[in-house]
Amino acid sequence: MSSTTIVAQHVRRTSLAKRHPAALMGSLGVLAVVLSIYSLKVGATEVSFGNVLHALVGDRSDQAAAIVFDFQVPRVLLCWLIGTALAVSGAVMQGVIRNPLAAPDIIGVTKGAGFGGMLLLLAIPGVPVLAVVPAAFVGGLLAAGLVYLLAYRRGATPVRIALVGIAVSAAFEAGIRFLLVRKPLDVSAALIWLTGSLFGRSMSAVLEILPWVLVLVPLIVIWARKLDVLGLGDDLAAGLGEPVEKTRRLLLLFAVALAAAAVAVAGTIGFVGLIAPHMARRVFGGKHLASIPAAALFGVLLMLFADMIGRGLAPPLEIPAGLVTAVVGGPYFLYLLVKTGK
Amino acid sequence: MSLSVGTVPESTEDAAHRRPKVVTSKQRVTWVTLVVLVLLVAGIAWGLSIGSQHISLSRLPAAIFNAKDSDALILQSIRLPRVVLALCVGAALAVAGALMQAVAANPLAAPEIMGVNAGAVFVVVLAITVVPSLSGAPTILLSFGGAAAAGVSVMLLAGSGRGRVSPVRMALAGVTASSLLISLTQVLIIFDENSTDSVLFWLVGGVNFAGWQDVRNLLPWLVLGLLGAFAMARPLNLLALGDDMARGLGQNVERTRTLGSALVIVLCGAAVSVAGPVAFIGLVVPHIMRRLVGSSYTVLLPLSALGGGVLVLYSDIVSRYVKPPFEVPAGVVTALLGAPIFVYLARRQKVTS
Amino acid sequence: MSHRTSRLRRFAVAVTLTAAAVALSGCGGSASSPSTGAAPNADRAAAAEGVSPDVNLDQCGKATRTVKHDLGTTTITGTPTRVVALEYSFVDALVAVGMSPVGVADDDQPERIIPALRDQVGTYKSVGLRATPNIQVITALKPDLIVADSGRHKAIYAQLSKIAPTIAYASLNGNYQQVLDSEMSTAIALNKCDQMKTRLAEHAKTMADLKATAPADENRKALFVRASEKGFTGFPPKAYTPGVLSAIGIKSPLPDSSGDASVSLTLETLVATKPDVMFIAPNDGPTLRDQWKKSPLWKEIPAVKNNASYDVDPNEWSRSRGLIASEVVAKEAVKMLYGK
Repeated sequence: MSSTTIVAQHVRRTSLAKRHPAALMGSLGVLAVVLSIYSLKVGATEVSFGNVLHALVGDRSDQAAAIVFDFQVPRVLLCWLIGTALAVSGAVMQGVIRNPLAAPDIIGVTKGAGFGGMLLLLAIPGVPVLAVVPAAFVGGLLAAGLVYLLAYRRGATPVRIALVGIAVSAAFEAGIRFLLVRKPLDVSAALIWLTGSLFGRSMSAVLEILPWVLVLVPLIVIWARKLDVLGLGDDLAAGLGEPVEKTRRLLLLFAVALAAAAVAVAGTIGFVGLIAPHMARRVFGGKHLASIPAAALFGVLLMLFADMIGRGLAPPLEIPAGLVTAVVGGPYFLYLLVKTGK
Repeated sequence: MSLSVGTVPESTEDAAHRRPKVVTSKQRVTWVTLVVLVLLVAGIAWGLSIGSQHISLSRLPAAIFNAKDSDALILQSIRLPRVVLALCVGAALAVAGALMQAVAANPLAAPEIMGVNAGAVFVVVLAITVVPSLSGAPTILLSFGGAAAAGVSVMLLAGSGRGRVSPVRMALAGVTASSLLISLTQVLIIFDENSTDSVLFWLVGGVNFAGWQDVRNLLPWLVLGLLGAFAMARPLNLLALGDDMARGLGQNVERTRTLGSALVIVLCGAAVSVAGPVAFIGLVVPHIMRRLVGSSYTVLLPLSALGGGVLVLYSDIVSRYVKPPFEVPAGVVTALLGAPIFVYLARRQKVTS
Repeated sequence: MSHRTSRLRRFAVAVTLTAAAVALSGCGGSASSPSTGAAPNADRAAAAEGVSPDVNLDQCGKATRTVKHDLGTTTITGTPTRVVALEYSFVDALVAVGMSPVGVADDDQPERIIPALRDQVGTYKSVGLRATPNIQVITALKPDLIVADSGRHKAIYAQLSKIAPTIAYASLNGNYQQVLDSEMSTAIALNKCDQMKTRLAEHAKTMADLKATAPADENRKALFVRASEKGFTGFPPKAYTPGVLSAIGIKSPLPDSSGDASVSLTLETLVATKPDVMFIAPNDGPTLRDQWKKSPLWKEIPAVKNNASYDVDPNEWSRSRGLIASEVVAKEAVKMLYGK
């Protein structure tokens, strides 16, 4: 994180971002790849770069390489997918809701997905673990749908979506607590899931989120210009011939699906969807064609960093990645509040 | 937009719509007070009589005043402190909510939304898990510290020191800070592998473990907070007219805000340290009362105190029916009751982006 | 549970004989277990005392054993030597057959492994929290068997199976019977059937002896609770510790009906429960009990009145559910209750 911030600041000073956005984007990408490879090495056991290299070319003959291949590679891939999903989702929400503080956490997706997952985990003991993912996904979509419906009054004004989102999130939070109290069998496992963690995630989790990212992210990038138009305000956008409500609905649906998929596989990892789009806008400006891919890269960097810290800080204990993103993201968010203050 | 007390820019139709409620009819206040008092007395009797063994209403007075049989002991050492604590906690949180809404000039400001409760809980849980030998009085001070740190930073950062802030901005700031603090608290709990019931208590809040000691810990702060709040009713009414108007009328706006915030922290910190983060009292009760008796703080604050007490009391009673014969924290019930009202409030907000 | 206790009585003598026979013969395969009766069922019971008939003892002693467990069936070849235990119960099972684990999910708090096991356990590598054991560390230990909790580790079962054959049993929410069964099943997986049968026979004898120390008219009801800062958690009869106590003839005062593994008690529900004896496992730091002690009602609880409220170690009484741990619990209980 710190290195990216430094890069970001440096870039801003030389206004390289304005002159060579592609070069900067490229170097962010390179940074993410380097961090990925490095994070393969981090963990509770000694792994050399040689092992990592062996693993990367698919040679699993030595045991360390096998560890890397079986456990580290899926986690790094998940960091990429979840970071991208959350960050792009956040960028779209912030664009559509026209509020720099909007995020999947705000619009009810996170808590709704949490509730869906918990309902299944706690209410039906012995349910197959795989069933939690669709349950959480459905919960997230339903919560977001509820937010939209409740906020709808001759069109859903952005600010009302944000407000109703907070309230609906609180309602689902209440539901989660009710479930915890009714069935306190394994609270600690439920809490780990609610905090958001990549603990024990394998290739099957990668495959669960992959299609959503592969389909929705390119779609959103293609629609980036529509986001720019929406950003001009409802009246102006309508004047430019944009079917405002319809576009907003569709974009929000994409964003919600992305966030729900991320929460479903990794639990409620907070702040990534909130702060990654900000970093992107600060460096690359407000044009969504540039800021959405950049947000994705910042999201990936955040996730890689969080998971790496979580695994490497106090082995053999694993700190949930969601906590690390909260600790990093919280202060950044406070800083944002000050910066965006009048 | 019945509830707003000089919030964000509002359209004129709202102001017109609101006027009749500011002019409070005395008769109405009397009726509301009567109803709340009847609910209070009925709730106290109900709360005292139900439990593992039913104590009939006719035996209540005798049991309260002379402790001989075991009924009387149960009543005096378990149910009475529980009922009293429910009333105290409810009063503290509801008045804190009303104060916060006045100070922040924001109908959505409430301790649980602004991160005050989450801050208090986080610091208390941190102390318990890291230094388990702490107990009693220090908990309340730690709770003050946490409440103050979280509340002040959210309010400052959301910019309330600089006049009016949009309720959305403030709510977003508070909710985000809360979620950060709650996830920190959860992780402390995970790594401590503490007992399930302690975990639920600090996540949900309730009065089911109440003893006279809790009441004694809370009472001085509650009295201080309530008296302070009631004494501030007039400045708060002036503040509701807007900063400029209040200044024009000779008010020291900054001092009123600072004092009000300090009282919020005392009330919330003390309540959370004995009862955990009982949700939504500070949001729901002042709102309901404002609808019923208008927004003059002279009547709003005392009635909120009563109403808050009644709400926590009834929530505690209902919580015994969630999973009989055992009990769940009352905070679950207040959360389930309060969340829909929060949704309703949020929907009704007139907002401008 | 009563089913099991009656069987205990029936075979009290036979057990002693079995134990002696196996101990003398030194090797004694499953075939050599002496039969005590005509029914094949009784034969089985004698072969693995106190274990429910669900445990498939036919696999004992085979080179390749198919072990049934809560999350499926696992085939194990040879005799595992490097075992990772993801709950304290499974450490107990290893120690019971004279082995020690290479890795334990010990919450990074080695003191949670009870003294009765500690010496035999020796040095091992901590693999982190029981809730989230570190898969990387487990892999690095190159285990040839992993014993997991079927509740906590369900989500990572597939990954664990990739590392080594993994069997999973209920420990966190397991009762006394399930814990004994899991010890026998683990022993089958470890190819240590005979040792475990001997140990189970010893265990049955120990428990029977302890039960015999109680007066015949013992009808006091004992409540086992965990006391924490904001919790007083009682364990109903179906849970592990009350199961152990019931094996030595001490019943629980809580209702059997609730499906919960534990129930939150308030002072009022505690008083209404009327326990004659209380075993309290307090957490570090102040607990609710300290606060309740000051209430006059606390003195109304029969256990307090009779001076029969005892503090016990949560590690021994609650966290380490197992054969050896249950003996520790039973011995302590008998010592506290009857002074022997």
